[in-house]
Amino acid sequence: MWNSCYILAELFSQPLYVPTSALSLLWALPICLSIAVVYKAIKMETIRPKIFVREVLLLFVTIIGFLSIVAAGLLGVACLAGQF
Amino acid sequence: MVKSPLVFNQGGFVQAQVENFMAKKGSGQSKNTYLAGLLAWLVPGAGHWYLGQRNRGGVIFAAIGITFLLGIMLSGLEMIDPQNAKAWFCAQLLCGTPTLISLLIQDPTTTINEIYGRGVDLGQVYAGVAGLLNLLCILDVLNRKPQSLPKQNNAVEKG
Repeated sequence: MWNSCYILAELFSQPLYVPTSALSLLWALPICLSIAVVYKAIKMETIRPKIFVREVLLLFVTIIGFLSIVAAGLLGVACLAGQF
Repeated sequence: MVKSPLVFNQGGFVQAQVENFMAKKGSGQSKNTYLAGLLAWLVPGAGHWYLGQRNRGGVIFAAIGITFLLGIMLSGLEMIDPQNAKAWFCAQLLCGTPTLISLLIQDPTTTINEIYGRGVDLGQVYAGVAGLLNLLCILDVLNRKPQSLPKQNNAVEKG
């Protein structure tokens, strides 16, 4: 039991190694989901599981979609800047 | 449709008033909004829970709690650093008790500069965003009074 407690404590005391690769951008997904959940929890009049999940997923996809559009735009600007 | 209680006979009017009062009591209208705001700061979701909106409070607690825990998992407790990361600390402090507990149990000899890396960077964003989301919830709790009106109207209609 102490062993598992130690492992659990270790999980929160040592920083996790996150490589500086393109894959680390996937860490944006949980935070976008969290933002969508809290925003919809505040905005919806009544929380019914089915409708709530649908609304959260819709907002989550919208956030990711707009982030992707902004990322593509910035990539375009960077490519243009690199040519001149 | 909302009917005025004045059109009812006297017995119905008294009953409507009693049901109105019970509806107010049950829906959190008679509860202290500032206390709800304080609770919402201390424990994410507790303000909504206090106002009787248990589902909403539970969802907020889970979402903000998981985000904050993910932040600590990514970067360790030492990322809550009031000396070297003041701006992030202000945002993290909005989470209330979780931040204060993390501040108390962290190793005071380790500073954020010693552990800094991509994980710490992300962890700070996670904990900071959790705090800012909690600020949104606190403001929502402070403005949530009129939400309980439909219940009150139902009580009048019954009378």
